Amino acid sequence: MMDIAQVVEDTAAKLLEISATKLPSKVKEALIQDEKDTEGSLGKSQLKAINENVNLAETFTKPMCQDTGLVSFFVKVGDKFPIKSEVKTALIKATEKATEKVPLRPNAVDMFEGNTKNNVGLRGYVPWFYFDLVEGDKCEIIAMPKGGGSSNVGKMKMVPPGKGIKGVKEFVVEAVAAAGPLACPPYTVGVGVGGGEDMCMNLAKKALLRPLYQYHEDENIASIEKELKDILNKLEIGAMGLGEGTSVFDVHMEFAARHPASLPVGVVISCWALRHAGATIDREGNVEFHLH
Amino acid sequence: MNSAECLWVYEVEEFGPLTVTIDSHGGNLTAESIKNIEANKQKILQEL
Ligand code: SF4
Repeated sequence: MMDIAQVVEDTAAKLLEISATKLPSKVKEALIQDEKDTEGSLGKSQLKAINENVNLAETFTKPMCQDTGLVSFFVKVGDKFPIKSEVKTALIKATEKATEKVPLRPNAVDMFEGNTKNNVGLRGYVPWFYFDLVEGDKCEIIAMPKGGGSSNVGKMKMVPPGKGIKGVKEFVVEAVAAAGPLACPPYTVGVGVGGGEDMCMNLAKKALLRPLYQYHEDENIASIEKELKDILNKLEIGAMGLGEGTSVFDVHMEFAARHPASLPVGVVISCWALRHAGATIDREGNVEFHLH
Repeated sequence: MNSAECLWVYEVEEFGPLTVTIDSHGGNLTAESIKNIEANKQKILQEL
């Protein structure tokens, strides 16, 4: 019998390696295109350095950035998948393993005891899990390590509901302008609207997993995403914040219902290193890595 | 030090070309960029 927990652990460790060392192809293409299109030498040189770095990381299977992020996993567990809570244990073990092997920078710092050195928090919560229960007999795992620099510019606001969608747009502009040159642009922006003060941030982060240039299935929302992308590029942040080149590759939005009295908006910004990788494991332990 | 979270001292050859964002004459590209972004933001918000 195949040890499913071991398969989950090995797969998740591999996903952490892939995400730290290899950009999703859409992101890679966007950066290459941006280098071609950027005319100013200041911006072009930044993009050239980024692209060279991305290639080296992939060639040598080494992290593309010194900050390999805080680890989180998005997991969908099928009803008939043989293990459930053991998936969590396996993901924690995978995080420790990948920290050694890739290596990942030890990024889990306990407030009182200091760096745990293995990317696992002393009090639970890190790595962070987003669990979903689904039909079927498979388990889907997406690893998403997110850098501290770009997480530092995330923002949440309870917009007065009377301001409606205009208030949402204003806040997104304010949040990205405030990020300015600080978080290694070109950015991809995730926006979560609705739910509560916590849910909008979760949705915003989840929105970053959608492939670049794939818009929301609701046409209204898709057109707001495109509008915001154009507007945000008028900020002229540019590559590494030097004013030349694309500021924002894409804006992805997710909407949840909201309480009548509130309009929570979460903005989660990714740096150029928009890293994630996924795989699906079936009940026999066969692993299929997602197109990357 | 054995971890990636540390400062390294390198000896390098053929270093650069580099972009100096903050120089010793008071030039600061980041500050200039922030000013420009701020001005663009005001314009965007008015037109929204
Ligand atoms: S913001 Fe992104 S690219 Fe910049 S240091 Fe952090 S992880 Fe690396």
